[in-house]
Amino acid sequence: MKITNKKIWLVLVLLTIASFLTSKEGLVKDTSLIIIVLLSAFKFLSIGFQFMELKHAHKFWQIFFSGIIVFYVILVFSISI
Amino acid sequence: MENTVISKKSIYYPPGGMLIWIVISIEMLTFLMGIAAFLVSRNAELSLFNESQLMLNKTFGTINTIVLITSGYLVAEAVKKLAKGDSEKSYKYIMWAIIIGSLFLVLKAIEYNGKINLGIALEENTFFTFYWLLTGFHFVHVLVGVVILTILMIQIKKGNYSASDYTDVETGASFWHMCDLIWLILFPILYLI
Repeated sequence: MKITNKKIWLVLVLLTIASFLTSKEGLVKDTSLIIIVLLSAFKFLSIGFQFMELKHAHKFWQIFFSGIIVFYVILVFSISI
Repeated sequence: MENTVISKKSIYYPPGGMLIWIVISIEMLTFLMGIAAFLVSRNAELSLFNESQLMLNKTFGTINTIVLITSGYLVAEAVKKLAKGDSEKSYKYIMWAIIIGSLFLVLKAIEYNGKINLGIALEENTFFTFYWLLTGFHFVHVLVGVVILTILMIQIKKGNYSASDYTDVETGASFWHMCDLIWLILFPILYLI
């Protein structure tokens, strides 16, 4: 299956709605936080690799970009959980 | 003069060029530091932060996220069309990206107006100090992004870019995507968790 911008856009919209619903679900605060932050990280990577075309870029930039969001996830989890 | 072909796989040529990636790195680092400061303050005043967060409209924030994602998609398509030499379609995509991107600014302005009417300003409490500073700083970025996209749209219309020369458009698009990325990490922290 070919990954297109349109398909990624649709996934991103659905994940945004999923994040919204998760925050309203009244789950245990930590569970909700983990789900929402991981969904954000996935969306971040999708935009970078698909919309910004990092999938065609040098490995260095792919790792650098992924490092930013890994840092964000570690930051949020280490301070908030 | 000898022509130099820059490979997209080159370490010296990230999407949009090296300069915009230096900007992206600095901006991301700045916002990550802001988020870290927010989270540390949140731990110190958890009940105040939770109560203040309830005053934000999650639905509004979610719609704004979808708006930015959609605008980012349209910009990505505009670059793709230009790379294929279709300036006409590229122009249309970037025009819609500007219209939808501007919608983010309008919705944010409505949200800000609501807060101002309730008397919630920068000095209301720690939560709202972060809220105004982080979202305000992001708002300015989106505003600058809209201006950049508008300039690019005019240049595309004039036929100043082609399938072999569209680096400026890629750079502008990367700036726009950066606005999107910043909002993606900011929105859940301020509105959802």
